[in-house]
Amino acid sequence: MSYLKTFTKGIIKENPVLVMLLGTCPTLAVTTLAINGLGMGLATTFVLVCSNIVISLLKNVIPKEVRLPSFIVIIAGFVTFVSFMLQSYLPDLYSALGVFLSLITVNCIILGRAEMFASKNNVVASALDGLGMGVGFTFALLCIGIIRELLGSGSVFGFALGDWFEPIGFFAQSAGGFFVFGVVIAVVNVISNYKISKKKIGCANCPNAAACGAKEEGAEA
Amino acid sequence: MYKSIVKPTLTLTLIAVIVGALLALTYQLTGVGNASTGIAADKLAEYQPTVLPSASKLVQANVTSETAGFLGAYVDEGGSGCAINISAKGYHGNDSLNLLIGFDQNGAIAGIYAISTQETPGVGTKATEPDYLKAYIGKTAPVTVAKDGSGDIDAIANATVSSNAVGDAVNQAFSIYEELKGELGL
Repeated sequence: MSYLKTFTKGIIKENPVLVMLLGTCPTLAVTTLAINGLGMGLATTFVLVCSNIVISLLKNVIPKEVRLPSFIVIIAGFVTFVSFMLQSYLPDLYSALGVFLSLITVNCIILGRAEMFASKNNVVASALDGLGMGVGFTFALLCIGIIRELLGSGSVFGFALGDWFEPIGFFAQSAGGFFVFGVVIAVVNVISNYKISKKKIGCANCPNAAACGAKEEGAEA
Repeated sequence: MYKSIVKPTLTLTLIAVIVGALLALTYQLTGVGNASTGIAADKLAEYQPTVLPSASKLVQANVTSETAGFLGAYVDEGGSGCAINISAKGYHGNDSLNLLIGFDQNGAIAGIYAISTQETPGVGTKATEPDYLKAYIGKTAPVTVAKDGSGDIDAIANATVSSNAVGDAVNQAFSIYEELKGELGL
């Protein structure tokens, strides 16, 4: 797989949130405001790229018996680093993200990429994979955040639309989050031309096929 | 034996130690643990009309106190009073109330702002709302809080602990004020 494809696959084709449906918890929780979605996306991207690089470098050093705890320690280290940085330089974003910042540690996108990709590929490919997945995650959160902020609070990135628009409180709550989430997934499916539904159901057509070990061990590496 | 038990254990331990050491370094460099950095100037300007309405501009005073809960002291450049930032025990544990308490030139309370609290939303938080805290304006030490109307301040029904916690914090601030007023030039 070329490096360009490694980067771009995370944005739409294998988008971690909208196609693989990973990381749903932070997606729904922090997207009441677009700026929070963007902040969460960027923080996760940073952790994803850094942890993919370090795990790829250490892939031959870490024994397979303790690989999961080792990955989690490395990921938790970067998450704590990000939370220290936000706490001292962007305290408003820090308090808005709240507990979900620490929960980046257990975001399955990050551990998923570490296990599926970074532990089997070289450093450059792993960094690009992390960056692509991070951009895809940020893009999804930003889309959902903009829609929910627009409809739920009547503003865009904090700028109010004016008095003519009556905000629909439903969209700021979690049920509205699920609703917008579903609509965005549907739109992404339309954009990607029903690629998934047109094909037969099977391992080869799964969006995770490239990284999944069940099909062919390391076939895409 | 070495390959299946010792090596994995050592590797994981080593990774944890290295990550821990790097984080300790970051903690030191970013200064996250330093509580003494004080309230940012823009926040202070936002709190000032509530805390000390007569003030022209609050600035951080370079004084310190060993009294428990002291976070910082701020004086008015125009000399109309000072404000003391204090952390106190609330319903949900030590240091769960963070109050900025303003004092006028006579040592009476000019205003109180609850910067952050961990009181129960909708119950204990009533004791930290601006409208309730207005009752403290003009009071002098010591303040008593009672639920039967016999004190200086009426406790909020169902939120007695939080109401008393605010009262205790205010009395604590009074003693800090007495201790520091000379140094603050009041």
